[in-house]
Amino acid sequence: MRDLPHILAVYQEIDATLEASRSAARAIGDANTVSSIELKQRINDQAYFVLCWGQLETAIDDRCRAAIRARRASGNWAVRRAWDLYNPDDDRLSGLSFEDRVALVLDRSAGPGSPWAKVMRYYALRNQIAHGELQAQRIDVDQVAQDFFQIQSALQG
Amino acid sequence: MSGVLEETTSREIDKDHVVRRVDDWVGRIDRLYRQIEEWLPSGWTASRVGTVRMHEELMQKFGVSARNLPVMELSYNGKPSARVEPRGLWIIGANGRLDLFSGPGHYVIIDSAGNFEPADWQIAPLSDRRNLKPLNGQTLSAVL
Repeated sequence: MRDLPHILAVYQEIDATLEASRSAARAIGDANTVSSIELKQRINDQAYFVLCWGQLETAIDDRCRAAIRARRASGNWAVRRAWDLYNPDDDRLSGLSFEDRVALVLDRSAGPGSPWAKVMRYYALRNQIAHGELQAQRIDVDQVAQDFFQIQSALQG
Repeated sequence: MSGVLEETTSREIDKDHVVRRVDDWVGRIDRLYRQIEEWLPSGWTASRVGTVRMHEELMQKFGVSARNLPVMELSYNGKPSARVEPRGLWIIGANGRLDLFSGPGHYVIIDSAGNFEPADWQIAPLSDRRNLKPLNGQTLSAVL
């Protein structure tokens, strides 16, 4: 996720500009402009959330490929046989769904609040936004990015 | 349902839940304002001046009436010098946000707790939102 700090820096710059405009409009009681700026902020949040998500998804895929390569290289067939089904060099990882890819590097049974559960919640949010369902809520992109870094550190190779 | 992310990605929200969340938010703001009054350094006073209208989209979607939330003005030696105003409840990544304006400074106050849990208020400059610190008498004094 080496590009995530750069993405966050750009997000913060844009949001700070919007925030300053909102404050100025609020100071003179211009409710229509405040409302218009808040809509821009919501859209901007969601655009940058999807960019940040792409960084996490790539980190998950990379860790998946590393795990597959490591297990396929095992001299022990009992370890190797299931992992031989997957081709780490295939763009789609031999057709594995995103949920299955995550399950190779995070514990699917770890319960609510676990990195697995968070990834799947964020994935659902990403799908809603990317498939055209803009959110009514703002996204605290900075806090979400901190969550992404914590998830990254929990990925098991 | 532990947080706003879970609410956003769940199909189980109903009007009763939204009403309870709004009531909880109103209560948390009231308790926060009372706490801020207790934390104010010498020479500072607080008063509730004006309101901001809360009618977030989830409230509109479920037919929940708008609410007016109080704005807190902080004065130093009788001169208005800072204000705290509610900004939003449903924010993915935070369980509500208020903004604190102090001179040229703009700070965000967010609740890091889960839904219906005791509030865990944190404060950070808007320009450095990852630099969150627990909101207490010391951190409040530092930004005033």
